[in-house]
Amino acid sequence: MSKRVKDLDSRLERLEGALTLANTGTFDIDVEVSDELDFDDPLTAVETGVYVLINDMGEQVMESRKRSQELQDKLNLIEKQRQAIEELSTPIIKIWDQVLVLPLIGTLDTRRSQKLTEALLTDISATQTKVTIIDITGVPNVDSAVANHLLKTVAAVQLLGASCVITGIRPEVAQTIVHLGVDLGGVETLSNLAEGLQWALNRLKYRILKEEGVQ
Amino acid sequence: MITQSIPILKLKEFLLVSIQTDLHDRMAEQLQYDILQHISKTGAKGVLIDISALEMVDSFIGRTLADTARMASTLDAEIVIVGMQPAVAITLVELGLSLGDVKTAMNLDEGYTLLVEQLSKNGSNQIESEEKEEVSIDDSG
Amino acid sequence: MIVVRIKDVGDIIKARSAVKDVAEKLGFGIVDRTRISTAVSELARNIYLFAKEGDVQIEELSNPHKGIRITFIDHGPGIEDIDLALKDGWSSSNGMGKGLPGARRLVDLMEIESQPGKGTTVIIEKWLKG
Repeated sequence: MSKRVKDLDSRLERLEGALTLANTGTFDIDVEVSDELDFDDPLTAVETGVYVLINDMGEQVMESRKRSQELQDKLNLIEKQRQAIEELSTPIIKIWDQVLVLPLIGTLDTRRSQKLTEALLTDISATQTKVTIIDITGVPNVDSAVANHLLKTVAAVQLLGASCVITGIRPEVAQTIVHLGVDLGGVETLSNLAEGLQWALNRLKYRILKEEGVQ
Repeated sequence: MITQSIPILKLKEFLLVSIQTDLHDRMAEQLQYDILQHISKTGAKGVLIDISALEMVDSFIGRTLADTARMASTLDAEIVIVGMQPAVAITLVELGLSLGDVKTAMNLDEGYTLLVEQLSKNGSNQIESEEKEEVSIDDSG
Repeated sequence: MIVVRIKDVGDIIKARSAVKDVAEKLGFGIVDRTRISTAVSELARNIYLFAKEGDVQIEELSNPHKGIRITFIDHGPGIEDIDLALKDGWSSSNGMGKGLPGARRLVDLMEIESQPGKGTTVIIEKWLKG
């Protein structure tokens, strides 16, 4: 006669319960089966095996959750850095009374263009700045999409009643613009930032005089 | 519906209009008519239209403003739109609407200065007929 | 859902201010609120001009995009050629032809269903971007 299994129904019920929970992803079970392990009882070995297995699985799942959390944190960090770079790459600088400079660096897509136009216009309106210089020296490719973004920004600035000049147009950019048939008519363009500043100061009726005869 | 009218004030040789309420189409048309009547009656040389309280300018209001400016210039008066909100300017450009050669200024002070400059440049009774190319904006990309 | 009935020219203002309130409550920034209310102004005017009357329905969106959806329903003459109506510069009224194409540029999604003689339904959506 086989050995007697104690409390068979309740133990089976408990086993089944633990397996069901494990199946749904819950692994926190009380591994201590009973205070006194009775290895003569054939069910004890099964119970111990199952509970240890479930416990191990729980630990592994915890570990893998921790790893995926770390991975997610890293992804979030990268996204934050991307945003920071985006913001850093479009500073709006006041270089003179009534003169702002927006030095553009990198590519200009619709989303970035919209964001920087919003930032620029808000700034112009808040500070009531009369002249804005958009310098595109740092924009590698000026295709018709980029040119259109720039035209829109300039048009919006002008609607506020402020003036705008685009500077930093490299020779190859000038070539591309003409080849693409982009019409920059009506938009003031100059080759470099220094000329842009001169233009801005003229517009504001400033005159810079070099002091003569100083020791 | 009763159409509220927007007050038009005379200040020396200029007119001053401040739009303080959300405009519907009929009000915009009424305003156009009133401004032209006032120019004709007073011989005003310039009109400052303050739109700083306008929260949006759609194609109808935009077109009415641009038309009014063109009509006023045939009456020898210059219109300056003053104080457009940044969000309104951005939306107008995205809408694809150009206000043509309508002059804009950031605030009343600057609008006034612009009109005075324009007046001294134009001389007395010369009708300005300078046609400017509109900045064309297309939406590719 | 909020419904604004368009029957009079002044109802265009009611529609856009109702939309602006909802958009503000949902957390849209000033520029997006202006884009949305301008698009609504254009499309509500189309109802007033062509169909004489119709409804503007405003509802909140949560899936897959959080945002706002506005539906313009009328039983007016309908649009014969939607592609043509979406073309820049084209207009059958005395507008500037900026109504449909202009409004489309201001939103993230625009769908038009129209049957000549039966009416038009235009749906626009603007999504909140993270």
